[in-house]
Amino acid sequence: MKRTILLPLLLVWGLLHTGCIVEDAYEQFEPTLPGYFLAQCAAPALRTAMDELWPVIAFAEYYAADDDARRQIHDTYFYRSRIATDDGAVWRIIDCERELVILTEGRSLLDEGIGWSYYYLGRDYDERQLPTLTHRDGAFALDLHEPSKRLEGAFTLTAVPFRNPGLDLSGIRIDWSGSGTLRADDLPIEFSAESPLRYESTVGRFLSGTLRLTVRRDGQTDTATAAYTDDGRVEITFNEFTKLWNI
Amino acid sequence: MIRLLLFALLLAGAALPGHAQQPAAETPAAHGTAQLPDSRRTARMPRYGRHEFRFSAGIAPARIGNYWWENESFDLSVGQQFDRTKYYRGDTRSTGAYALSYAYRFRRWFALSVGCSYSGERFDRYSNLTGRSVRRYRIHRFSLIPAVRFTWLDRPWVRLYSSAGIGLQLIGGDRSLWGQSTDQAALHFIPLGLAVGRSLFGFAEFGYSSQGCIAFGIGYSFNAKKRGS
Repeated sequence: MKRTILLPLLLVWGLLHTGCIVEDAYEQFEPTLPGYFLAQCAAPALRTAMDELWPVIAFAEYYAADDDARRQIHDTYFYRSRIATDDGAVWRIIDCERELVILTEGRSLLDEGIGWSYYYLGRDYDERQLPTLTHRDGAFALDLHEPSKRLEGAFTLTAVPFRNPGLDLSGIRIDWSGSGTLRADDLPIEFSAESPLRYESTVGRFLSGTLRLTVRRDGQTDTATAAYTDDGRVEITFNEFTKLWNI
Repeated sequence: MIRLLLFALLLAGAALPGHAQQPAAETPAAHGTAQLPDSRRTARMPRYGRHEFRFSAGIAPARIGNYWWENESFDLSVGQQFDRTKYYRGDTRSTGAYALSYAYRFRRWFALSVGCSYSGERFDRYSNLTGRSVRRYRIHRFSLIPAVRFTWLDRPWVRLYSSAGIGLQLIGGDRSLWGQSTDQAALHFIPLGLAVGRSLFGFAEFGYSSQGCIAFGIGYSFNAKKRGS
């Protein structure tokens, strides 16, 4: 009698403890994730573009200055670099990590209507479409063609020298607006600055401004906005949801 | 679960000292059980039938293959990765493993068995845009495993045994999502099995098996009646 009770109980106990085991998922509802993904694709490329641009702007100051001022500018922005030219038209800024070549055509960028092209050695540029920087009415215009046409766009920039007291470093602060396309593998991302994005060379990231990112894929259009904050975070808005992400 | 393991070990420990008293092979004289002391008479009783059916429920059925979902693979293009961000995977629910087996005891210490088992899993794919489930994915595993079983402790109410076998596992459902494109081998390796009872008995098994790495169940053993007897 005891056996006939105990064994079914054992069976029921076993069934209860084996059936429907739940393994927690490591993913969860994250409605802004697609927008964050787009921002994470676009921001590094744009940061790299700014990182490669600011020495050109600093060199424009250097180029236009007299010898005494050049020495000071060299120590401020190019302390670890060597600036060299053979003919006064093609200038090279060489440091341990990279070599920047600037095609000045022997004229200052700060003159009206002058355009400088530039490229970094070791990168695969299309020679017919080098990035070109022009200066007009106190602002710079950048026509950007990244290697392999990965990043293309037209930007308007204002650049000012500044000193970062926290890092005790001098650098260039760039506020840029404009639009373009980033081809991240098979995902073309159209971007535009809804409000000017501020980039500081001393920290190497965006401190403010809003980027609008659009993707057209499989007949569907997705749009996200990424608003950068000076504490290194980005507020992503996607599909009417908003979340503050760490970059 | 730890308590169960300890309980099984305690049972084994309690039963082991008596192992040396296992009777020798039966002789014709031994059939006169009425003249034997109680302990010997008990040891020579035909405790269990030759035929045995078991039903068990197991947890953590052994699985061969990887567990990655399609989109966890690292070779997705950026576009596919973006598509992937629009969905997320919910909890995985598994049924456990349920097995039915038949065994034939050739000797008191040796039996051959064949068992079939089922285990299944499912999870939902949710939209990251709405939070709603957009599709449910399932996988079904049916195993057929012939096995050998060695009973290494045989007491009146308790048996300890080991079992091993290899068979076939048929996989159905959305199996590609589990990285299992073909049917595959089903393993059954049970170093420790514990059965308590006589013709009707309960048992627990611990090891690595498609029928559950830890399994509990009930069984029934019997002798087939001879025709004309």
